[in-house]
Amino acid sequence: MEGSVLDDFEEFFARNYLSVRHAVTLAFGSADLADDAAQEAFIRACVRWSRVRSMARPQGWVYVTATNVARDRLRRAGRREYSEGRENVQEAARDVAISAVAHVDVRDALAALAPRQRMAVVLRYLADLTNEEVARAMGCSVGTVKSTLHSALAGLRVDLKETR
Amino acid sequence: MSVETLKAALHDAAADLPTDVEGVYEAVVRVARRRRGRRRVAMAVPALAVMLGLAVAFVGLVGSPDRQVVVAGSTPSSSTVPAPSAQWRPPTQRVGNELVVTLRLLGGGSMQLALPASVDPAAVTTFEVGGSVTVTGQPNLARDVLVERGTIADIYRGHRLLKTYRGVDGQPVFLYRRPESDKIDYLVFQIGDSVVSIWDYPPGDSRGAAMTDQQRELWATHLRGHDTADGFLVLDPLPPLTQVRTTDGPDASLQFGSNGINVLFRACQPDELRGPHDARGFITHVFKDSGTWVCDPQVPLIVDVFGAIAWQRNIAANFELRHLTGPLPLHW
Repeated sequence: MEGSVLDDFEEFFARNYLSVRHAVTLAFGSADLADDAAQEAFIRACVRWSRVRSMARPQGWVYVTATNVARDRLRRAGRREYSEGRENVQEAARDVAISAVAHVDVRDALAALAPRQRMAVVLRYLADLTNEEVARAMGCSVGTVKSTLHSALAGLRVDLKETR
Repeated sequence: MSVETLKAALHDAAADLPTDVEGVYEAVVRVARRRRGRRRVAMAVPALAVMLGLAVAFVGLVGSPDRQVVVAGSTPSSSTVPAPSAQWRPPTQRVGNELVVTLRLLGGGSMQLALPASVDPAAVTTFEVGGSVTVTGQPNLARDVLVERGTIADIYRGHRLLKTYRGVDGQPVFLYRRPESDKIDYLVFQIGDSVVSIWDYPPGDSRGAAMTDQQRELWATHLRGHDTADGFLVLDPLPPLTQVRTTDGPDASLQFGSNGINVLFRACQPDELRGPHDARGFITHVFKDSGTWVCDPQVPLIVDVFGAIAWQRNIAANFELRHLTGPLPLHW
């Protein structure tokens, strides 16, 4: 039995950590923010591992947690930057995303989306979260997720018939 | 563009991102261990003026209930006296230039922790015993066990009582909703001077299925324990409940305010085995704010010393663990 629970978490970490970090990077356009958020999400998962591992989709929980952490940190940073007279942090994050991914067509298109649209697309189609999980990550209703995805996919010129 | 093309493009974009993760797992686990102990303290302190005993254990649950007794609506009697043994601390004695603290684990194993004589035993603020593991074929029913010293009436005052079951000796076992803890329900046992709480998801929770009534009854009729003569709680679950080896959290934790010592019975990881052995045979890693980790590859176990840097240095360099007697988590 030695190490069985730890091994369990280690395997979970190995399977999912990079995916979570990458998804948050693409969703928020900041590798540093993604590092922080992904690590924080996995720390929280490890702290309550007995509970998280019993969930139907532990990886979904970690994605949602990482996204929430990133949103919170961005919001706090936004308030700080606003008080210093700087541009809105959402715009800054978007600029980072554009500069980071501009050399690839789909990233160009992704970066051109509104932040919430980009987050919804990444969580739904890269992280493969359910609409309900995306809703929890974005702090909105499932209906809002669907409408956000619809407009985002339209912006990306994705064949919307395939999404019905 | 099709959805599949979009997905492929997203995966390509992700594949171009950096993949360096060296040291991240170790850092995550290290911070989690520390935070796990603090989370338990944070949960208990609002309920008790002085909180002395907490534990986390996995306890496995298999099979079907052997009886069904549900008594709805019972309420634990209100307590007007302080929580039992609120001032209780692990037994200590001064031997030469050492302070020797007796620690007993949730499964009954014990040890003596020898500390420098400069450590004041009266400064102990918290003693926690860490969890044991049991997963007997139904890992989805494995549960943390939260142990807090005190009475149910004190600890769960103001929380919503959902149901009452009958315990192994006929005593009431309560199902409470404790909203400050992640909207989790708890099946609550009074065992000696401690309150033992088994978490459960509320019905309809998206995180996982709640236990059925029969499963809660099984817990109620098979989880038991006792206080030892020296004041420690030991669990004696009846089959099919089984207590096995520790989780990754501390097996024992002794705190002196913001300083403390965690003992974890687990094999040292490869990165923890790198470095010189001291005269005790230990390998020490100093992480400053994250604590000092001392690996004993012989037992094996880890001692995590956290708090002020001077405290870490003093304890890490001078402590000894003696008279380890079973059942210890490593051998379960």
